[in-house]
Amino acid sequence: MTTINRLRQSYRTKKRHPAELISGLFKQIKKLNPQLNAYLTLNEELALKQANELKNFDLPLAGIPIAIKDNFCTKDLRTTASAKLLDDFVPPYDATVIKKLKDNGAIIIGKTNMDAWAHGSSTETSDYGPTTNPYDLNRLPGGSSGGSAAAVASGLPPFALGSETAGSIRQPAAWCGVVGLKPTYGRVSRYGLIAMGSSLDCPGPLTRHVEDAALLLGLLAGYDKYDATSTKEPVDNYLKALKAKRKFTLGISDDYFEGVDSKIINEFMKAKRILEKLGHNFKKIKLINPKYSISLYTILQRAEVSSNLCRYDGVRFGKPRSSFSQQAKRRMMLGAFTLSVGYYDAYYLKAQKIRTLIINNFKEAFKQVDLIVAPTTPVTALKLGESETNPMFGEVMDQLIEASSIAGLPGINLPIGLQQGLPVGLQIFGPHLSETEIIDLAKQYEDETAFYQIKPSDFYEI
Amino acid sequence: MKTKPLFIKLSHPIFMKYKTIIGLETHVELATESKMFCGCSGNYFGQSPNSQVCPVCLGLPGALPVPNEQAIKWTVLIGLALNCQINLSSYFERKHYFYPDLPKGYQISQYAKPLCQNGYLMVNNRKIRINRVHLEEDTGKLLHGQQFNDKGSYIDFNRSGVPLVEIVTEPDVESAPQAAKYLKQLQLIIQYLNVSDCDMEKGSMRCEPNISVVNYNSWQKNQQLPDYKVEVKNINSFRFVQQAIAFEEERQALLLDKNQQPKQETRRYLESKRQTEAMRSKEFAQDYRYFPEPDIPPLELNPTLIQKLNKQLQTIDLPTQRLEKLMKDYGLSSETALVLTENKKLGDNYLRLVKNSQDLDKTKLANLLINKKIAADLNPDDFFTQAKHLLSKKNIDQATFDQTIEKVIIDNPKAVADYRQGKQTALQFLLGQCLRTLGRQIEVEQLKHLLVEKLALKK
Amino acid sequence: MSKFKFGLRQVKQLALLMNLDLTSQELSQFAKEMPQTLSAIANLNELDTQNIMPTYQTTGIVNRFQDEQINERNLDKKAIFKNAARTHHDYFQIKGLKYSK
Repeated sequence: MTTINRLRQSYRTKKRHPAELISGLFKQIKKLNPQLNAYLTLNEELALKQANELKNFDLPLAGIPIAIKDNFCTKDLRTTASAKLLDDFVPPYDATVIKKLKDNGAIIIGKTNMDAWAHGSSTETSDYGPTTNPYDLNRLPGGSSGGSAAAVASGLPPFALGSETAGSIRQPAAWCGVVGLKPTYGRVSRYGLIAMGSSLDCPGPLTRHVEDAALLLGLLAGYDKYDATSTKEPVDNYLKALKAKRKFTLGISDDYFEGVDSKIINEFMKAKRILEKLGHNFKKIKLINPKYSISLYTILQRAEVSSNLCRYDGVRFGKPRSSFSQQAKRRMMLGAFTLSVGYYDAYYLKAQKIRTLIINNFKEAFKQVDLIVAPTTPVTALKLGESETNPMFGEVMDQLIEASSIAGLPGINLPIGLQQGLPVGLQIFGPHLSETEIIDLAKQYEDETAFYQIKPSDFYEI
Repeated sequence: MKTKPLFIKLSHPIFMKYKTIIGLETHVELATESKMFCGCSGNYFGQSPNSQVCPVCLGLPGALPVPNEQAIKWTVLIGLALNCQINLSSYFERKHYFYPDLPKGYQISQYAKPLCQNGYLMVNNRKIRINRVHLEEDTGKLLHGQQFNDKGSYIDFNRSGVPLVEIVTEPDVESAPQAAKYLKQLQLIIQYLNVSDCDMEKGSMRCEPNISVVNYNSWQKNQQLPDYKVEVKNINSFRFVQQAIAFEEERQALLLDKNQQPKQETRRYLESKRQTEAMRSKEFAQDYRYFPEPDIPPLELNPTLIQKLNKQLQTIDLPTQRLEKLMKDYGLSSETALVLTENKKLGDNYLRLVKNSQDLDKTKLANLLINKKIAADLNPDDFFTQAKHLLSKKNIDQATFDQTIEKVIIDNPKAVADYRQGKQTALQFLLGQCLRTLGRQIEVEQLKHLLVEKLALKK
Repeated sequence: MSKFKFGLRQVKQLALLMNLDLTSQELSQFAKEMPQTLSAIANLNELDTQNIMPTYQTTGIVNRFQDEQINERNLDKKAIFKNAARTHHDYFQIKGLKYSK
């Protein structure tokens, strides 16, 4: 039941001190990390120092521990993006979101494992070995923010920063049974986030409570003069949204159930009934089939990756290009192909035109409904090793999320139950800058179901 | 093929047989305060290496570009001065190639939608069409061990990200001298716009000619461009542009004469050998894989901004206007006016100073400045005083000079003998004797010159 | 989508463009895999994109310009060089390139 506000309250009333909390947390992380492999780098010394020196708890995140996905540049703290090429890279600057967390008093616990360069949906393609799923150590946590999702699911700590290009927050959140909020593209600054798909990348929180996701988003969001694609639209009061309790018309599309595991559909139907009971209306809508998003995303992602990985030449930082994993090389090669003379129109340009079709499709849909709900993933957490057999594993696992990411829309994953001991997720997504509505609906569902009570056996209550 | 310097005279029949076709790509660094996509100072010249860099221009992971508005306005201004159409909707793209001085592995440039298109520049009554004027970022600077006396290469990223305007002509240039004239004129226009110092030596202006050669007869039949062109890089003066083009004209013509098709390739100019040589093909990516830069929102220029820039352009004297003004309003000869036009700084000083020296002769003032008889960076009052002093010097006729000098030589045989034995002080003495007769208000240099002449004659 | 035949030559060319030194095993593996991936995404041809404009960015933002102080983010030399493989007298150092550009 630990939320950021409760924790801060306990600091203020001197019931607890962050130093005691943080040292306990590190003890537990060190105990569990050999199996989980959620953390690549711990920030123990500095975190403890910071906690010990804390006297004033006025800042909204004063003394709050947080895990950071390893693709955010953290000044003077090793940042690898889970790639051996960046094994010894220590950024000389903080990402804007990191600066915001620090300025608000947060204590960075460490850097979490991910698919190398965030290419993937399993955290198995990390150059530092897979993270395991806290619900079943033989299974994958999803990815690419798998380390952050596994840490939050285990309570180590229950707050983390992740990033999503097309599923990398919501899919691991679904497989690890936590809340994962992916904001509108441009709502949160990308400055200092190691670029993957630049037209899609978006930082966002992973938490156990909707309230914490709302609070963190409120602190992370906003215009950044260092990110020309960040929006100047004012940031809504997401905490107020937690209490809005509006009734929504929710869209549901048959195409989003094709090929989805029947056990997941069963859980989803239960969740749907709960939402109906809460007074929300469902309306059938027609969306472009997700199978096209898989193809579209494959092209956009490979193309932008092939470009974004050009800066790694081993001169100013990192090791030589020969240090790229085979997976990264494979993606770059395909990306270079889709952008090359003679093939650009057939692949990259065609993909960007279909992106327009998807955007228009959603625009039409949102004339009829406020938000759209669907299962987050077609299957629950798969076993370790399963990602290796399919070069498009990630695209398939993220197929129900990709279209909304491609359109730059915000969305959230909520845990809705367990199937054979593995978490099942529901996603809510909406039009541009509809975070307020999404948070409102998510909070209503959370209040009704108390899904945060579902925990893995090793859960650590800080 | 091994190439050696060729020295065929222009009258050689081979030059009658072939026509040269030249397109020019010129890069100009804009003198904005900050770099193109970050807040680092753009004034890198003479700064200690890697002292003006940040995560953006160093291409660190996670860093993002934000465009410089001033650079965009200045590019449009250049485009307007070159009679271009302005694309109100424009955007940046990524141009990919690997070179150690290019930190991101791509250069942010423009491709499908440059800021300016379809302009022209009149060069000696000939219209040189401008295909495009676009904005991009400069690379870092690569040094090759010269200063450390070893075989390593060294990179300084101070220049990385400095705004760079590329001006591309259609293949309308026909000869090396014409290319040089176009470049000189382009340089002057941009200098007059006050957006770059266009110094070829410092590298703030760079030129890459694309040269091909075609048989005259076939050209006159169908006006068809040859299906190859040779790009020459690494040129840093107008003189070398001419030399490189001349070398290529000859090299390609000789190949064609042997019925060999010159290869489409990029060559570099080697000053020391006065020739070009092919660059290894691996040094150039053959496919830049352009795509719209996702990190920078598109540009939607406001038509009123273009109007404003057009108005601003009207208030700026461009070289042709200055030339006219100097001749018409100041009564200068075309030669004098040209000097003050082509040397913008000198011309600026002239116009600044002449205002305060109304009652002095405008041509004489110009000559004082041109002949460096007076410092150009004076304040107007001092300039006026000094100029007045210099211009009020007596005009002594040649006969008086001759008589005086001859008398002094006759009157001072010892000093003359000393001088002829190499004593320089003797010359000073003789000069003093002349001045005693003539007075000090004369051109001493001229007198000295005459005296030395006469001493050499009379034995 | 075009029927592109992937041979080793094409894969080598792409590797050259991406500045990747691939082993012969990698080259032949990619030559085999890439056509598979391309055929897996060929279903995009089922969607009609005639007269559809591409969307490169989803924000609708235009005209974003710098809004920072000069040298605001300047890094000191220690920060600049701490991740570099080789440096020499305030320069990044690389293996000697034969020619200047």
